[in-house]
Amino acid sequence: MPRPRLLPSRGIGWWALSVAVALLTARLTMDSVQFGCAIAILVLTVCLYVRDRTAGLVAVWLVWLLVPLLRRILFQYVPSFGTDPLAVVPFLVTAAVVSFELSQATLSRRTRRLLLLGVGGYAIGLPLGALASPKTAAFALFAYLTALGCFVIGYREAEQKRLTLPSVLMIVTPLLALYAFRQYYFPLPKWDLTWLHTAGVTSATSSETGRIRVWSTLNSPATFATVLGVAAITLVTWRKLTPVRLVSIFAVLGALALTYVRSVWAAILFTGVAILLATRGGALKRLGPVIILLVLLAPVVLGGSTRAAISDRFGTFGSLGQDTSAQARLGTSGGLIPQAFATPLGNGLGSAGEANKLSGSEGLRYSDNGYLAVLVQTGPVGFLTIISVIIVAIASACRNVWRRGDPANVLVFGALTFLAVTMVAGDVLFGITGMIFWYLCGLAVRRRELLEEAKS
Amino acid sequence: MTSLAARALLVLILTIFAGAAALAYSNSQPKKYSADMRLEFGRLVTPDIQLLGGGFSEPQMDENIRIQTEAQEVRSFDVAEAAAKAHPDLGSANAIAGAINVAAIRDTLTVIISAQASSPHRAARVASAYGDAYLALHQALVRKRAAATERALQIRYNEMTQGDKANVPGANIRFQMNTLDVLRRLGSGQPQTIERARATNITSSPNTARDVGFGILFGLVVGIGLVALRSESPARAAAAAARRAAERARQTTRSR
Repeated sequence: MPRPRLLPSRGIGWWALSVAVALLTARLTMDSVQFGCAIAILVLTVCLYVRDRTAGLVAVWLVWLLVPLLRRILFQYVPSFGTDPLAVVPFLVTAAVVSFELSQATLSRRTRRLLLLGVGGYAIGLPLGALASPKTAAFALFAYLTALGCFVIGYREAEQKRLTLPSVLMIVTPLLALYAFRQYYFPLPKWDLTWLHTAGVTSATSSETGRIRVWSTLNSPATFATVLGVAAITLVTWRKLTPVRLVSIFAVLGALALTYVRSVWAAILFTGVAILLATRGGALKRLGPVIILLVLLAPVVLGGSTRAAISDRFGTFGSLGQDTSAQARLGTSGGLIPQAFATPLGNGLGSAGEANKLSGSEGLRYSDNGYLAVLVQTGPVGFLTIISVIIVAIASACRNVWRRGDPANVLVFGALTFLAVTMVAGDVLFGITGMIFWYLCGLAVRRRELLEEAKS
Repeated sequence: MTSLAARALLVLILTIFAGAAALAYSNSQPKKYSADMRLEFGRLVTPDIQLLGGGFSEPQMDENIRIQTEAQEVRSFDVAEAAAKAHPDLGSANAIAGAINVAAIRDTLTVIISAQASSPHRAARVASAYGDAYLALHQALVRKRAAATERALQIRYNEMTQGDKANVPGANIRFQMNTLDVLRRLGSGQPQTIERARATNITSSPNTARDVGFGILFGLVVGIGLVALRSESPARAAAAAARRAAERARQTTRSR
């Protein structure tokens, strides 16, 4: 990519920049190790991106996947008080890369309109959010727009054979799954135990006595399960099924089982059926062997008590009427939907979802429904605007796979369907899952444009 | 020198520079010493007072919630004000509050009061003064409440008929007043100091070894990034291209 003018590549300018950055890093490390670490990661990622786009994007996705673990380790050994700057680093590196991408991208008029619609939808919730808590609203807007910006990354990558996110997920998530097994079957490492106690993870107890629901290097079982879901779809649909890849699939699905996140299990099953329908049965030759091996091996690999706990958890699908968690979700939705429709501009950005944590007010942090979180924050107008962009992207993915069922189209369709279904039970549009979602939307839209261009 | 070696050298220079900067910053910081005082909130009252009678059942709540709540009380600015009043030479209440950190230890009923100061002796004095001020305030509150309740019971006792005073109702109130009287005189005895603050010569800040270690580590990360940003000089790029062309030519010749 052309180098931004602000970043000198040689001579006195480069030396001045290097000395200044090294001094700044050393100085901030004195204030807080987390601060120094945040600056170091930010500088490394941006510089890698400027040198080589693929390397930079790989670094961005790795930051999302690994920085939560780094935060926990640093918190254990060099605890800091107040807001941890490392929590914002993934958003900052993504925002930096997205701004570079925007300066390079040539978007079609239709895509520009779609992006403006998305930005407009979120902006609707800004005035009321800013009135209630300016800091929270600003962070929520930044976080949601950064995620939306990943649309451009996906859009630009659509023409390339090697897609960075799926490649990273295929290699890294099996390793994250191994760490998850370690969390489940052995005593938790100190940093995870401290995190469990201090971060207020509300749903970390598994159905098996004395065990936890795994979250690996991420922040919660639900987020980890969603990422594993996307990785499983990638591994099954995208590249050739080699023995190594099959082992990776089993590792990922095994870890997914140990998260005990039922909404993701259900979404995976739903996605499997949707892929079969969209490919008119074509995907059966990939899904079939995986399902058969899974049915044969799972009872052998999983221990007796773990197998029983997972079966019990799965069995609760048949009695959702008596299930506390399911009923609580239905209760929240039932109470909030009429209230949300009564406020045309919503309750304001940051009034729901993870960003609400910043305000410390009585918001709806665990909205348990991504659609509801958008509706509550931006009102019916903003909700329809944002959802219309999502519908266009999913429709594009559907059309792509129907017309040409190549692996990349199947992957994009499968992962988008999966995330759209998972959103019914979680705030998918925030954080790493939001980045993945909008990245896939960009891929879907651009691939449709390419198909249409090829056709015309 | 090859391009890779030159880049590695630049990374090394930046890493050493960041480490040296961290060392310089760290050494320029004033030294601070810390001292800790530990309080234990095991019971509501000491066992000897519990022996006097019932009414001292321990609260049924999560021990971590309880100790965090107790820590909030220890953290109160009222304590810093009381400490400043008792020891004017230690500075204002704001200065004392700024030098103190109160932390509850998870899965125990223990609270640590840590003080930071420019000398080990002063740090120990600040921690002790703060801890003692808290204990005094806490006990004063317990005694005040015990006295108020005892007075109320005394009034009620005085209003009783002679018959009631001589029987069970009167005996009950006398029993309660007796316990409250001990509580008023001695306090609850809780929390207990399980470790007094001591002066040690180990500096708590700056932690030079840690600062330099992280300075070098982050310097390395930043160095890799910044060197990746650096483009090759035209002469070096031309030389590298020539080398690659020669290598390709050699391979072609060999394959023929």
